[in-house]
Amino acid sequence: MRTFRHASMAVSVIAAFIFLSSCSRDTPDPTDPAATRTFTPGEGFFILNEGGFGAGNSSVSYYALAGADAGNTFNNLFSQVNGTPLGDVGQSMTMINNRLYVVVNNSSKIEVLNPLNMNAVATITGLAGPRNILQVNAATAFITQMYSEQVAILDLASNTVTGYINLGIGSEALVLEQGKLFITSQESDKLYVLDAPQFSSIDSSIVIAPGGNSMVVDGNGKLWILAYGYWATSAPGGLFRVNPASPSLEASMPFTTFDFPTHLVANPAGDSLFFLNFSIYRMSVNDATLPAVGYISGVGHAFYTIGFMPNTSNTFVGDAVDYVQSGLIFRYDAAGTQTDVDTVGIIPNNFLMY
Amino acid sequence: MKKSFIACCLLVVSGVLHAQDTAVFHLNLDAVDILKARMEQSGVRRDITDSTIARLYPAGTLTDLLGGGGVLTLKSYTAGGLSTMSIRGANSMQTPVVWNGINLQNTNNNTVDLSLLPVFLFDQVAVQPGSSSAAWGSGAIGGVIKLTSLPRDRSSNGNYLRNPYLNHKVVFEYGSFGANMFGVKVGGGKGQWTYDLKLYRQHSLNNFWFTNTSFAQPRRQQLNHATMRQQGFMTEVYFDPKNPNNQFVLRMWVQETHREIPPTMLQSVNEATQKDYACRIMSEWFSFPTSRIKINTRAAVIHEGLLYNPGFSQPINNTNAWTYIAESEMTYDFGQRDTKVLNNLRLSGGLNAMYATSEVTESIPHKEQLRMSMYASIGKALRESDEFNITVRDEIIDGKMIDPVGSIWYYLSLKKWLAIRTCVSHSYRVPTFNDLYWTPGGNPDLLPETSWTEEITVDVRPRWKTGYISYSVTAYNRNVKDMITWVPNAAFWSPLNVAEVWSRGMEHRLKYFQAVSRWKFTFLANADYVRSTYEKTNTTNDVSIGKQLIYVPAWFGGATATAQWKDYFITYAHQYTDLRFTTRDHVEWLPAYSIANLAVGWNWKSNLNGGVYWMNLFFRCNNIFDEQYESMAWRPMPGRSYMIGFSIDFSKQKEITE
Repeated sequence: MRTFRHASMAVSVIAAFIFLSSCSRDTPDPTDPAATRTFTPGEGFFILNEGGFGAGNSSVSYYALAGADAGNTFNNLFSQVNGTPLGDVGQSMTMINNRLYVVVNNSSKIEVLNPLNMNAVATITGLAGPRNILQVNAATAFITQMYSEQVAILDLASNTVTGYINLGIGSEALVLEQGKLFITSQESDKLYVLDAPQFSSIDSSIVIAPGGNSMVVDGNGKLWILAYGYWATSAPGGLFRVNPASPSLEASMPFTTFDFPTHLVANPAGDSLFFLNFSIYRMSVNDATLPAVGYISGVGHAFYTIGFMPNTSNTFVGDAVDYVQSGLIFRYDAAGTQTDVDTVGIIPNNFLMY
Repeated sequence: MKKSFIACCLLVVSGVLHAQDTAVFHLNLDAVDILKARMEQSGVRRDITDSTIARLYPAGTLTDLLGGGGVLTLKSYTAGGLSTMSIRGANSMQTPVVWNGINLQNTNNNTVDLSLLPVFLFDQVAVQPGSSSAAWGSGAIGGVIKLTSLPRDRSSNGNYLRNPYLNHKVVFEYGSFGANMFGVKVGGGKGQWTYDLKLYRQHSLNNFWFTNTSFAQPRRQQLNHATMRQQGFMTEVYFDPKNPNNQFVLRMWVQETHREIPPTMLQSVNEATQKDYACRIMSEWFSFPTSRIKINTRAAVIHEGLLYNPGFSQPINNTNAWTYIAESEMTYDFGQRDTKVLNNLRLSGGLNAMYATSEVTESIPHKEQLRMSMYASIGKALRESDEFNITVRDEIIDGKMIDPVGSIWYYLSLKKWLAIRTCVSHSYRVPTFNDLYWTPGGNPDLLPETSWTEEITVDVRPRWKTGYISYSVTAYNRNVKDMITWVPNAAFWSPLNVAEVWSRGMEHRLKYFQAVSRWKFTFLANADYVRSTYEKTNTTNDVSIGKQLIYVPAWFGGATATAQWKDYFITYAHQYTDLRFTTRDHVEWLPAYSIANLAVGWNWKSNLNGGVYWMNLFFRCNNIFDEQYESMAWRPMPGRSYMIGFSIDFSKQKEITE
């Protein structure tokens, strides 16, 4: 009897504590409404959200500039339309033949989408860490790969890899200008030049700086290359201007070893360059030195990409916040004043007008 | 809010007190109790792995033992892959794993991979949640996992042994996905010497089938490139000089692990491999010059290496770290005195010196660090069954003294079956070598993380003739400040002391044992509620403030039921892990899951040839309901699998009962 009483008291104490432990917990936030809509050309732009490395949470968003949804953002378009995640590390996206090619680096694939409705029409596999894709003629595109010493040749009709260009090193950014293909590599300090029409091998190279990550052609037809350097050897990065016709190096503007410049873009007019180096910097294509002061300060931000929309004087900037939560896009007017902010996916890294 | 929470717990406790005395504090310290001065704080709860669980994983790893038994929240990157723990929402860097008093945390990243630690090597595995830096130094914010070799001069009943003695053991497990684990121990003693040598090896293909949900139509796939193999040995040598008040111990532990890193569900291929190497040598000297003075001196040399090959012709990353440790601690026990102040007073103090070097290919040039710490402790038994302790510690790192830390704990035995433990502690964690020296971005000006923890535990332990209940409930509150977080900072990411985390919750531990005729029933259950939230970050537009940390489930727990009839047993274990958010704004999450394991086995004991044979044979089915789940996003975990194993233990020794 005494034993039973003790056991009963023990059970009562236990039950009391368990009851007290019935505490609340966070519940998941509501997801975005289903993306059952069409995207009218000229009314907005797509945002590629890179996602965390290994987290598998890359995605595509859309920001409406015009129409009934002007100013609104739509997220998780790929997964909601196609019922499957986009993949791991959305690296870049390019429009080719009215198809949206989304390069997913750590999933080693490219998703080909119909931009009108985000339906997946093809998946290109068999790649090794793809980075960027570029159409070189009506039937062919080239794909740079960081885990392969070859650039992949893609047949655009079948969306299959049909051959390779042996570069001898991993490749990063690529631009076709004046009949020449220019390719950078994060592993070397050279800009590689391949001549038309076959682009079968390296014809020449120009020494720039290690870490060539982005290139643009300005309104004067000059090629600009941005490199972030290599910290292990304390080699600084730099901004370089090349005459693609020669091809030859025309200007060289080095950064310090404490800089890490990325995401070089040109405005629609082609007369200004913008790049990220913690803050956003702006310079004229005619400037001979790097800007000393940021155009938009990066303090309190984690800026990750810049974009411009044609026929507007607005700058769009992607902010990764802390890289582990939804990113933001900021809209700035011509004076650099913020006019809008919207939530997108994890680490917005690419804008593409549609 | 925090004060109301603690007050609420105290009110409930005060409502169920009964008066009954019992003695639970032993004043006569010996070789085991010298360790208690630091290693066992009565003011905090200590969870020792139950034998009904341990016998099911004789050749497994700590991941199997602590994860399979639902003891700890683990983050596992697939079977055989990296596995780290989280106690009360703290990360693995804030929870040291201590091997016979030596911290195994890697100086580079302060992390211990539980999948690399074979259970076979240790006599006892205990989890002590709660802050205890005053006792253990840097890192003990979430808790401590203790891996202990029990003294060789004692039997499992605590009686003294006399040489010569023999103790041999063989453990073996074989099962699904090419898993096989084997260990053999040879031990003995003659005259003044006692030794044992343990050899082990494990190998697993981990080529399990899983459902890949990354496709629009989920498809069955087999995991590839996931092989794991490990081999190593541990030897321990004890020497008892002719002076009976001394004992020397020398331990050496060497192991090597090769792992292929499998692709995630979103990857088609992964070529990465990793090789881990560790050589750990430690010596101890126990000395009892008088009946009141106990001295323990310890030294260790640890060499660890990690070779990570990302594949695809990418550069190989090589980490090479050396750690040298020397420490000594002394306890003076006043024993029973007429003076009230000195009666049952115990003073302890210790000095610790650690010199560490490390280098990481292209990321950390050769770096060195010298750390010296000292601690002082006062403990006193106020009545026959009550005890309190105050400990303070301070540390100098490369000539800079950090703020002192300390703890106050109190153990109150109210009844033979009811006790209360309380503890308030201030702890810290020094930055890792990666935080300080990583190139680019390392920040040599980082400060240690600091924390304050308050906790109270109620132990309820009624016993009756044929059974008993052991129940503990702990309520805790912890605030971590200056938490080190890597943030984008100008050109590179850099670690800064910017975050504050508030963790609070309750933990339940229950064991119920009942014997009925020739049947024995054991029921174990644990349930943890953890609310761990960011309170401050350095990030503008941060919506994570006040939200649960990622990969920290609000609820985690398990239950194990064992029925034993004579030498036969059947065990059912069920573990539940609640939903886990994978982004800080909670827009993505992993769903909750339950895993159930079932095992049947046979325990047999026989006296033969003047010795005792123990044999344990079991068959275990893991994840019997074939739950498809992920511990880390997009990393598949095995479904239903099977394991068969046995352990044979032979010992021959003379036991002296006191």
